[in-house]
Amino acid sequence: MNEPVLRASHLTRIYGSGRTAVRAVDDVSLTIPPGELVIVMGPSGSGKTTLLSMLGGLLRPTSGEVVINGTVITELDEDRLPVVRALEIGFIFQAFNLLDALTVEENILFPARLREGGVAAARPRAKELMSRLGLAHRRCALPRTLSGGEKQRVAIARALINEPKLILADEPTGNLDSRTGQEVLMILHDIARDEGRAVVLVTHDPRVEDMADRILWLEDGHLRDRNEVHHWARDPVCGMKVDEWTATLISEHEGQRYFFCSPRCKARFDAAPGEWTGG
Amino acid sequence: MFWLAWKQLKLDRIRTAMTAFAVAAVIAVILVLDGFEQGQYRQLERVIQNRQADLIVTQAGVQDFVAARSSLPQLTREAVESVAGVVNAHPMTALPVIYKKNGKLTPVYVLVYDTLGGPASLLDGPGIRQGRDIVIDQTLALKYELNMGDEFEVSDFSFRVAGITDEAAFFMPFAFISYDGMIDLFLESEIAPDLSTFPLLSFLLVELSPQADRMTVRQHIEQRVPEVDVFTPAELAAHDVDMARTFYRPIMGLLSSVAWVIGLLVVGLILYADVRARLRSFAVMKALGFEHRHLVTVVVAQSLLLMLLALPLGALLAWLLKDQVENVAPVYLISIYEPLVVTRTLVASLVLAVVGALVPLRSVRRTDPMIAFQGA
Amino acid sequence: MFLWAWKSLFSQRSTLLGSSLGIAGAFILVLFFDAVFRGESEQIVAYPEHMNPDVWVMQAGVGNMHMASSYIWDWKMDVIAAMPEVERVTPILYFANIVEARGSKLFAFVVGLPSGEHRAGPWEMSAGRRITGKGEAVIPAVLSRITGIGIGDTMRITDHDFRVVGLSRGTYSSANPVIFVTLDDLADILSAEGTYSYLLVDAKEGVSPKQLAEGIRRTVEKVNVLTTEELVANDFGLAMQMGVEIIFMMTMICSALAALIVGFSAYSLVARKQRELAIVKALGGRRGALVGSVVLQAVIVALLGYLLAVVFALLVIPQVPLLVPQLSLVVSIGDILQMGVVALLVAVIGAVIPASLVLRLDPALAYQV
Repeated sequence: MNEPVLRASHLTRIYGSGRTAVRAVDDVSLTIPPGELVIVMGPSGSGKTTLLSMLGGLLRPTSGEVVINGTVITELDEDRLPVVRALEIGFIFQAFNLLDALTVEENILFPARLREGGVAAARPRAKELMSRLGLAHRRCALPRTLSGGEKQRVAIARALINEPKLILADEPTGNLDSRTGQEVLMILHDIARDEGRAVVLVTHDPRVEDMADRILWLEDGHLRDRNEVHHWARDPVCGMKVDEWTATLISEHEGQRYFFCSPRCKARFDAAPGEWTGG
Repeated sequence: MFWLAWKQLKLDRIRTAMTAFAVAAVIAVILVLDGFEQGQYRQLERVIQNRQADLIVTQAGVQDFVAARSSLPQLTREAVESVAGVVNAHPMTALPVIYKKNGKLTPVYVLVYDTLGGPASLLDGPGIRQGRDIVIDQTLALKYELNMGDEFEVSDFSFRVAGITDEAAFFMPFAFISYDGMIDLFLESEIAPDLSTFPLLSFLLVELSPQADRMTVRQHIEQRVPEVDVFTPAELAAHDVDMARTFYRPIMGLLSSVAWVIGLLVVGLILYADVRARLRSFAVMKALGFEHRHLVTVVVAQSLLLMLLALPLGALLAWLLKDQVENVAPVYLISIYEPLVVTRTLVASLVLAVVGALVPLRSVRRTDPMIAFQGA
Repeated sequence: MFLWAWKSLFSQRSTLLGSSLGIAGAFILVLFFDAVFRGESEQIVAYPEHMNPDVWVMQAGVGNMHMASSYIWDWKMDVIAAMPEVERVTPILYFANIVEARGSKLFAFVVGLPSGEHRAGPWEMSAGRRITGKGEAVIPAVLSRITGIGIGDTMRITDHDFRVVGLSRGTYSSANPVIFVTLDDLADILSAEGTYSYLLVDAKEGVSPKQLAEGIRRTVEKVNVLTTEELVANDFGLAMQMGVEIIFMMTMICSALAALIVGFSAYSLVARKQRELAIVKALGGRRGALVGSVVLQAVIVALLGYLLAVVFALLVIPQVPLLVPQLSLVVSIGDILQMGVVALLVAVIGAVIPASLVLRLDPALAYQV
């Protein structure tokens, strides 16, 4: 088996202290080999971004370690972390985060200043990325003139310019319409498959599931492997299909768990469970 | 990183222009304040140099020209002229008066001259041709709307404006009359009974023969006429400037330091606001692996670039101000082009830029790269 | 809309504070200038004000003490002293000249007093004694602090040396530290035996200064007679007038600077909040309200800066002379109020560019991400 690109063991991040302490990420372990696209899903506030920030060396875990390409980044000090971020990891953000003042090409080449050979050496790569991502004709455009999909493609090209082994993408389709979102996901998928990079994609977009090699479910700070098969349950109040894995509204009644599509259904159920369970 | 800073400045031109103008205004304030002080000194030097004497004789113990009362006995002229090397000792009397018209008072330094030491240049008019003629500084002409041929009344005695010149120092416009005019003034005006108290001779403007050695002649005059002191114009000017410095320094020093603090505040504020507005960019740069020193370079580069934009603007603003002030109130000279003033302002601006850039650095250092994950 | 303006302004407290401080700085510079000129001008009239005789008699054609010279024959004093309305006449000789103390040269008012005369002498001593004889001088205590010249030391006025015997209080300003010597010494320096410069005349009880002045004018020819109030007004006016242009210039440039800072901060705020403003526009917000909110923000920033400047002017400026004794600074309420009007003007001018930005804002921005 290939040496994993990313290995995280027993990652925990606690915010606050004492009685107000919140375990945003709780004892999470994760290994990703090259060429794998892993999707981390979970409800809002489940700790997805915290996990991603720790994997990317932007946030220090309270305990546990992160190893990227054999380097234990959790042991690096602030002086040495930036180099890892610049050369080993490519970030893709929901808000694109392009530098407004720079053109498409300049944005893509921007992180190349941090690698050996600098911008000059990276120019052919930038050209290739632009043509691959359909940006060649927008080379000199400023971000404010781009569409959302174009902006995200520029961000992807920027993430790839230094040829990192690991790509961390945070809700990359969050600000895009479905067709553009699909396009972006396809690109990420190809990057993992064709270039052998490890891609971690955080999202709660259910459309992406088919593309993933593996889907992980993060809830209340815990990470679980999610089966590819859905576990459908039926909302006892309205009769809608609800995925047991992703459902957040759950009630127990007489030893049985019930799943709900909305707080409204749950409230009606909780008021008189017997009425809905036939008991 | 200068490149990135430049691109960022170019992106929002209106904002950059306003910023540059604000910084330019600060530079202009500092330039004008400095130029104002230097201008005062230059004027003091100029009014002495303009008398065109090789040596100037004063009452013993008097070492200044402006704002000092010097009174020489009438006979000293003859004594000085008898010294070898002296071609001529031209008399000059200084007569400080307060001019009053339409309820407005202005102290005027009237110089009485005979054969040398009159107005160095005439902006208008033929100059003094007879006893009642007076040449006045443009400040007076402007302030009191005086034109050629108008009356100029001193102690009930009417002079007639025969020329406009540009000589002023120590907040005082100068005026020039002839000895005939002075005698007429003393005899015909209300002050006639007290004539004896007026100095009839304040200075002697000594003209030397071309071969004479200034220092030797000076020594000879002081030996021959013990009741006088002799100075080169430069020495006398240096004394006046010295005196003016003790007068201006505390005030100008205080005002300049206030201007400096304000300059620092403004530059710091502008950069701080700018960095705050761009925190996301800095967060993104951090997330992309750029180090703190890169970000510092961007901030300092931006500050220096802004300063480079602001400097010529500031110089232009200062020039406009100087022009305006010197037009409205020609009694002031604002010397902003002196090497000392220019160098000082240049250095001050660069220091301002760098120190100002330090203000937002804490924000930059504390920028959390995780901001990049937040929605726009 | 105005609530939005208020809240968004205060959501950026550090920027608001920074802008206000910058504006305050610009205003402080102007108030400093005002205070310097007013302080100097008030100090210039300190001597006549403290002497406060009913009337001053001086040479005809002279109406000032500051920057003036005046000579009248000594017999005129005898004539005035003999008038029934007159209680007392004190003569002084006076000239403004450069004096030298410990290598420093200063422009000074030198007052020559009849020996042993206290009426026209220093009004408050901080050390030493008053002059009693030739060759003695009383100098301002501040002058002693600045130059280091103390009691027993020698100072020079033209070619005469004087021994400092006392230090007086309240007699210093940059433009005219008042130095007291004997009348005889000063007559020597000026070669003015038999003349005085000014006569300080006190009226008998029941005689008003105006009546006294009238009486003297009738009795003595070719003199000018002014009440203390008139002389002080003349000197104060002369001194202030010398600063008018420079104060005006500083007011202009500092106001321009303040307007730029107001413009800068209002513009930054608008630029930062342009999405929100676009949303307001998209929701049908009226142009008037949008512009009004920008102007309101500019006014708040400017007024805050103004208030900071006023607090500084009232609290700090009066303390400066303790550190820099050369300076006499006086803050006038009139100047402060005037500055308030300037601050409002500055706010409106500063709001022009940001307001035009708001008007040009595309409401479609609200739909962009």
